[in-house]
Parts: sequence; C-alpha cells; structure tokens
Amino acid sequence: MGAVIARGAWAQATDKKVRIGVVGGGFGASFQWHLDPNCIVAAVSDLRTDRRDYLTQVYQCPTAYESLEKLILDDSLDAVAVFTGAPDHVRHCVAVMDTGKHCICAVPAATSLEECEQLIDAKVRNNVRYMMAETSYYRWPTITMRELYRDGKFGEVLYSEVEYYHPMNDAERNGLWFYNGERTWRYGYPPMLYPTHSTGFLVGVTRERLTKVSCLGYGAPDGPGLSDNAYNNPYSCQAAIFRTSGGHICRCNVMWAIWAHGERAQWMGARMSAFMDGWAGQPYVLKSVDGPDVLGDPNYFERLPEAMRAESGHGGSHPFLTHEFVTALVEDREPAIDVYESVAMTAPGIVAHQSAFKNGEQLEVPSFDPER
Amino acid sequence: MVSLGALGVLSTSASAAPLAGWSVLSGEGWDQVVDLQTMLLQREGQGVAAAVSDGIHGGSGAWRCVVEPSLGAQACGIWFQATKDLSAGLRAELGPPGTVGFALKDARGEVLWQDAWAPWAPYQAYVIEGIVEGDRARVQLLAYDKRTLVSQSDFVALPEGAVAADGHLAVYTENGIARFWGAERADEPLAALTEDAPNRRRLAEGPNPDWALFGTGNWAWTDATRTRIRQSAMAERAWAVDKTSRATRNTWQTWVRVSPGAGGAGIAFPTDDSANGGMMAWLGGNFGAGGLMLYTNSGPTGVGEALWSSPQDMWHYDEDLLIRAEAKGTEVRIQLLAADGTTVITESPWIAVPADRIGHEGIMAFHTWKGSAEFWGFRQGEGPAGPAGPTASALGEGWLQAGGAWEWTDEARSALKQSGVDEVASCVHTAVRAARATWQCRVAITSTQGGAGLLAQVSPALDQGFACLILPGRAEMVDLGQKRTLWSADGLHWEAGAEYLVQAIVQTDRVRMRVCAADGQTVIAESPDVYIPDTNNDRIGHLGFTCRGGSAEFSGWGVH
Ligand SMILES: NC(=O)c1ccc[n+]([C@@H]2O[C@H](COP(=O)([O-])OP(=O)(O)OC[C@H]3O[C@@H](n4cnc5c(N)ncnc54)[C@H](O)[C@@H]3O)[C@@H](O)[C@H]2O)c1
Repeated sequence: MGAVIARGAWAQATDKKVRIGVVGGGFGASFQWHLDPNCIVAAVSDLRTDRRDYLTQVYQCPTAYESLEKLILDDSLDAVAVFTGAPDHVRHCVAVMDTGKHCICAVPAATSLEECEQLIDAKVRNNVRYMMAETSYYRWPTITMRELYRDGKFGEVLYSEVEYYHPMNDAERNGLWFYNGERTWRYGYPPMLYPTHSTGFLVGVTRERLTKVSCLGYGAPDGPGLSDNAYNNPYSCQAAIFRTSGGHICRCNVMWAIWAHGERAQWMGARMSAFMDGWAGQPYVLKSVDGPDVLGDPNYFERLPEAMRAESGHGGSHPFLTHEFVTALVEDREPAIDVYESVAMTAPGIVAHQSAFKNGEQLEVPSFDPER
Repeated sequence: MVSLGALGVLSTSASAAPLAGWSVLSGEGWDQVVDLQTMLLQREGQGVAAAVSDGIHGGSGAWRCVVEPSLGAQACGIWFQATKDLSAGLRAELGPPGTVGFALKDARGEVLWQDAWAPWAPYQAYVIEGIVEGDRARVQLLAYDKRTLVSQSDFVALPEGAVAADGHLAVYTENGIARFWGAERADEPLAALTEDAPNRRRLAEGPNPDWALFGTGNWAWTDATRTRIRQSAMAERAWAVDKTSRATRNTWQTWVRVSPGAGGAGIAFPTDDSANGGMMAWLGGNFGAGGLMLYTNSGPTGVGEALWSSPQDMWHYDEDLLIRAEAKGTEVRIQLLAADGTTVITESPWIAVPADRIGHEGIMAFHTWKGSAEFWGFRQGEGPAGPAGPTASALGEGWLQAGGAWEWTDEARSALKQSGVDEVASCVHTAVRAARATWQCRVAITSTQGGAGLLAQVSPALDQGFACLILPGRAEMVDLGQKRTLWSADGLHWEAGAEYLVQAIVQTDRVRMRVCAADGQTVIAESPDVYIPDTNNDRIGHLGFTCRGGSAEFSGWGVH
C-alpha cells in the first residue's frame, strides 16, 4: 500500500503507551491488551501459579507478581485491570486507585450500595479513571442501538426487555463453584448482584437511570447452593420491573436455573423496535413503521486498530472494551463506561435483590450521580 | 426523558473546536464525536450538508474516507479533488439500492458510472475511495478492513475542468445522518483494478441472460472460478433462477451450506423464468437445526403447500450438505446427504405430486430465507461436485477423513489406527454430535517424534472446533476456527506406545484441555479454563482424531 500524503485533522496517531498490569488469569486472560498499539502489558498476577503462568504466556509478559497487593506497588504501571472474583472488586479497585493508578474492572462494579459509594469516592479522591468492563455495552447490536438512539432514529425506548441467563449442568457448576475442593465466590451467588449484563443494554444505550424497582425471586428449596451460601441467598432466578428516569419501563431478568442461555435485549419504541439475535434461534431484526425490516447486524471492527480485530467472547466485545479503556487514558478523558455509568448499571440490581426479599415491594434506587 | 444533549462524554469531547480542520459548506448539525474513533457526525439529516477538509488537498491520487450511513439516508459520500466551493470535483456516493447504489457523479450530479445494486447496510462502515489519474478517474467501495472490495468502477474519462488542479476532499449527506472518519489522500489506491471485482461477479439485477433474481438478496459467484454462488444479504426472501439450467430432467441436486443465523435455504425445480411452478426441496424448520421439507413451489410471492417434512435437527449451519430431488412419473422423492455425498441424513418417501408440477422442461431456482447460504455443484449435470474438505473415509458410514490411512483394529469397531505419515491426518465421526460437554478419547502414539490428539466439537470441514494435541515434549490446544493456539505447555513427558486419556472440557464461554495417564485419574497436563468466542456455546460439532506426522491408535472415545 502506498504512502498516505495527508490525513484528516482528527486522525492524530500517538505513540503513547499505557503500561497496564493484569490481575486474574481466568476471564482476565481473554482481552487484547497486548494487541493494542497504545498498550503494553507490563505485569500480571494471579494467586494461582497455573493462571499466573497462563497470563505470562497470553500477554507475553515475563513480570509476574504473586498477588494484586504486590503488583500495585509497581510504580512503573499506569493502570491495572482487575479480573478477580466479584465480591473482591471494590476492595481491589480501591487499593489500585489509592496507589494513583487508573483501573478497569470486571463486572459487577460492586456488590452493595456502600461499596458503590466507596468506589466513586476512591475514583474522585484519587482523580484517576475507572471503567467497568461491561461486555453488553459493546455487543454489536447494542452499538447499533446506541447510534440509532443518538441519531434520533429510534425515538424513546418506551419498553425494554433485558436478560442474562446462564444455566449450568453439574460438571459446569462443579467447575465454577469449586476449586481444589473449596467453594469459589460463585457458590450460591445471587443473580441480581450480577445485573450489569442486563442493565447495560438499557443504561448503555439511553443513559437513563433505573430509579424504582420491584423484583421477584425464585429458588427451589433444595436448589444447589441455595441453603448455605456466603450471601444468604435463596434465589437462583430473579425478575425485576424497573421504572427509568425517562418514565419508561424495563423488564430485567437474571437467572441461573432455567434452560435458556445468553445475554440479550429487545428495545421497543413507538415507531421502531430492535430484537437481538438469541440462543433459541431468534434472528436479529430491526422493525420500523417507516421501512422494511433491517436484518443485517453491522460489523464494527473498523473502529478498532487492525491488530485487535479478533473474534472474542461475549458478542465480540472484548477488544472494544480493551481499546476504549486504553484510548480514554491516552486521550485523557473519561471512558465510555465511567464510574457513574458503571454504578448506574450495578446499583439497581442490588436494590432489586432487596426487593425480592420483600416479595416484590417497589423500592427506590438511590442516585450516585454527581449534582450537575 | 433524557435529551440527546445529555449523552455526556461521548459526544462533547471535541466541542471546543467542533470541526478542527474542516470547513462547513452547508447543513446544520455537524459535530465531532468520540466513540472509539474520533469521527465527524452529520446529525441533522435535513437537506444537503457538506464539510470540506482544509488539509487534505492535491492534484491526483487516491482519496478516501470511512463512511457509516445511518438508517434511511438518501445519499452520503465523498467529494474528491473538488474546489473548496464544490463547483468542480467528483463525488463517490452511496444511496438507495436500485436508484443510486454506489455511483461516481460529477459536480452537477451527472452519473458517470453506477453500480445500482451495490450492497450496503445502515450503520455499517465502508471505505469509499476515489482515484484520479491524469484525465481519468475511478471509484471503489471497500469493506471496513480496507481490503475486501464491494464494488469497483472502471476508469472513466474526465472532461476538461471536471476536477480541480489543487482540489480538496469533502464529505456530504443528502437528507441523511452519517459518520465519517479516517479521511486521507494517498499515492496508491487500496485495491488495484481487477476483472474479479465483486460487482462483476454479482448475478446482476435487471435483464441478464443467465440469471433472474427476485427479492432483496445479494447473489454473487464466490470467486473467479464461477462455480459457487452465495446469497450474502440478510434478506427476508431471495431467489436466483439459473436460466442456463433449462432442461427436462428427473434429478436435481445442489450442494448447500447455510450460514449462521439464516432461516433456511433450498431449491425449486423445475420452475419457469419467474421462479414459479414445480416443487421445492427446502431446509427449514428450526433455525440452524431444522428439517428437510417438500413443498409445491409458489414462487417469490406465494406460499406453497407442504407435502412432507423430516424430523428437525437434520441440517445445521456451516455444514456442507447435498440436496437431491428425483422424479419418477408424478412421484417425487427428496434426500439430504452428508458432506461425504453418500450418507443419507434423511429422505422422503416417494410422494405423489400434482401432474402439472413435474415432468416438463424447466429450470432450477435457489432460494434463501432470512439470511445467507451458498450453493454449488449444480452445474455438474446429474453428478455432484466433490465436497469441500474431508471426504468419505474407509472407516465407513458417518466417518470423514482428511489425509492419512485409517482403519479399524477390531471387529467391534471400538478402536482404530492411523498409519500414514502425513503432516496432518484427521478423521471425523459425524454421528457424535454435541456442543458444551466433556469430549474424550484414549490415544497411544507410536513414536515420540510424532504427535496426535483429540478433535472436539469440530465441523465436518474441520474449520471449527478444538484440537487437543500431545506433541513432542508438549501439550497444545488449538482453536481451529480462529487458527490460534489457545494454550501450550512445554515439558510434557510421554512415552511412545503408552496410552493416554485426552479430554476437552467445553463449557459456557470456556474450554479446557486435560491429559491423564492410562488410569484416567493421574493428570499429567491440564490447561486453565480458556475463554473462547461465545459462538461456540451452542454450535453442534463432532468428535474426531488427528495425527501429526506419524501413526497412533485411538479408542475409548465419547462425549458426556
Ligand atoms: N461477560 C463478562 O463480563 C464476564 C464473564 C466472565 C467473568 N466475568 C467477571 O470476571 C471476573 C473474573 O472471572 P473468572 O471467571 O475468571 O473468575 P475466577 O474466580 O475463576 O478468577 C478470578 C481469579 O482472580 C485471582 N485473584 C483473586 N484475588 C487475587 C489477588 N488478590 N491477587 C491476584 N489474583 C487474585 C484468583 O486466583 C482467580 O484466579 C469475575 O468478577 C467475573 O464476574 C465477567
């Protein structure tokens, strides 16, 4: 290919490099940090040696620390990716940010309202960037929906159905719930404390807030892990109805025990509706009063550097999350899923879980947004 | 409700200097936004809106920009080598299929070249490129990767003064919202002129001696050999009638491969030029796991009568399958055959059909519903073209092989061996079908110079699934779809002739490989859980074995 003679004024390439430390060699090993032209994986860590070795292999990074606590003392790092278990996220992220480093963390952002507060506090106090790696945000149908909504083509999302289903057979449950005979954090974990794959489909499109919720829970009395878990959680399935800050309705499910699978949304407006493709064979389709069905789901790879256009998990979202966090740091701006968006996707599930204990009583979801 | 202005960080980061480097010529609502890329957004969508680049100018070369049209845009594109007031210069434009498609226009809007059926979709990014070389110009449309051509014009001679001596690049829309980024001028175009451009391979709409098309599909030969057609649009109903296939015949057949997401595909036979009449053999029912069906064919606008259907779960996405229909008097039988071209997956009985539907001269038509499919081998007369990838194996029905010499070692068919020395020799047991599961086999490798292993959740063509390999001094797990090593571990000690248990544990979003000693308990190598694309979660695949440069024996296979 020949030389480029002139580029548009905005296309300023930079050779700035973000030095990131990656913690957690399970899900945390499935991102493309090493392929981003503006990022170097400068350290990795996992408490488990096999996963630590795997992280060094995947990210071709020889510097490995025994723990997050040791890794964050490495002052050569600009940022840390926290992919540890959910109940540890806030403790770990606060520790990271307290060393003055930027932080990207796996979902959920927090597991209690107090933790939501602590997380925002640490981000503001340390004046660093925080992003939650919510995969639903960069599923390609979500990107299309976001653009349709922003372009005013969709109108208001009057009603949305957002859901996350993850059934497990015995082998899978044993694999996820136990390690070396010990229970992992996933044992009996409450569905609505893992709400962001669902809520991200709405908050990530309209930026509305979920303000009120009524939620029901279901759990078989002898359901696996329900009688003796660390969370006193009796539910394997939870379904919530939210009121949004726009006055709209959102039906939000998170379920482990039903034979249905995947992360999916349907967005409905007065003149247009969008249906994501789904596990049961539902095809992707945009339906509009004004025109024929649009069936093709666009491919958004063009927005990524070429080396990062890799197939990845969760609807192809991983390299998008990776690149957004890196470019936000390079461009010195807040990432797309900043701490307020992250908490706006997380806190509603925490309150929904409380509502389930009150048999669906409608509860207010507190706002964590700054006064504007 | 939340106003659009409240969208926060994503739309305002460059608002201090909204269009640095660009001069707005017309239109309200130009903005610069950041969504992974910094881009120019024309968000008003009313009338003509144009912005010209101050910095991108010159007197020749390849002018290009990524353009992402929104829903319902009337037209959008780039001006190249244009005067700053756009009184001279050329336009490369995307517009509604049938009226614009992809076109080269002069400054007054005269069409100099047009591919009216160039396929494009809203919210999909394309690279539009205009090339000026002396007194001639051409345009091309490429996919996001800047490599895959979508459409390409020939050079068009330019009248005097058509372009500016030192012209600029501009972006524009007509009654539409669009996003633009990556504008640049280069000395070389992204793609050279080629006889094999997709628009030349397209089974064009409009008068065409060979093909008649109905519906909103995008039909094209897949490559210059012109042996395989693909309908690639996510279209509701799409028909292609092969007018060259006119004959009176008793057998109709085609290879077909249905793409993920599609609702179904099939053939009508013998039809007339408008795809009416005759019968239809159809892969439909459950998306991606449906049945074979026999209908009367009612053409592009009607719905035929269903005469017979097989059980569901007979066809799946990305499988190479053969559809065959035969007529005997006024009876018809349809069959679905596996990738080996001989194994019958399902077949109808001989079914009486109305006499006027069969026995006359007619042609074959291809049909897709809600998605894409490929057809090939239909121009081979009565005999099918050879299947792609692995072929029928000496191991018998339901077995495919690619390379090697495979044979059973016992009467009960509980063990088999591969004795060739091919670099890669694989076989697939298509009767074993599963997705998330524990896949396993026992393997004894003849020499430590060679290697062997388990193929788990693989496609018949071996282009999807996982290979779990014992290799000299190491264990390795490969994703065949991504052609990528997912995990490898050095320092694996294994002995020639000794038996090992190899497992692939496929779970939601993850896969793990394990190698155990013959006792099935002592783990000698195990990968961590490796996250993999979620497209694997429900993809039905098969079990197989593979040898790498040597022989091995396999037994004790299964999926649970
Ligand atoms: N779609 C998604 O967004 C998605 C999918 C899967 C998992 N996740 C999230 O990603 C996170 C990780 O998931 P996983 O499946 O890998 O979980 P996991 O429990 O298997 O792995 C967590 C890892 O963190 C390590 N770790 C814990 N504390 C540490 C410390 N102090 N220092 C170093 N390492 C430490 C553990 O050793 C463990 O290997 C979870 O929070 C989960 O909720 C998100």
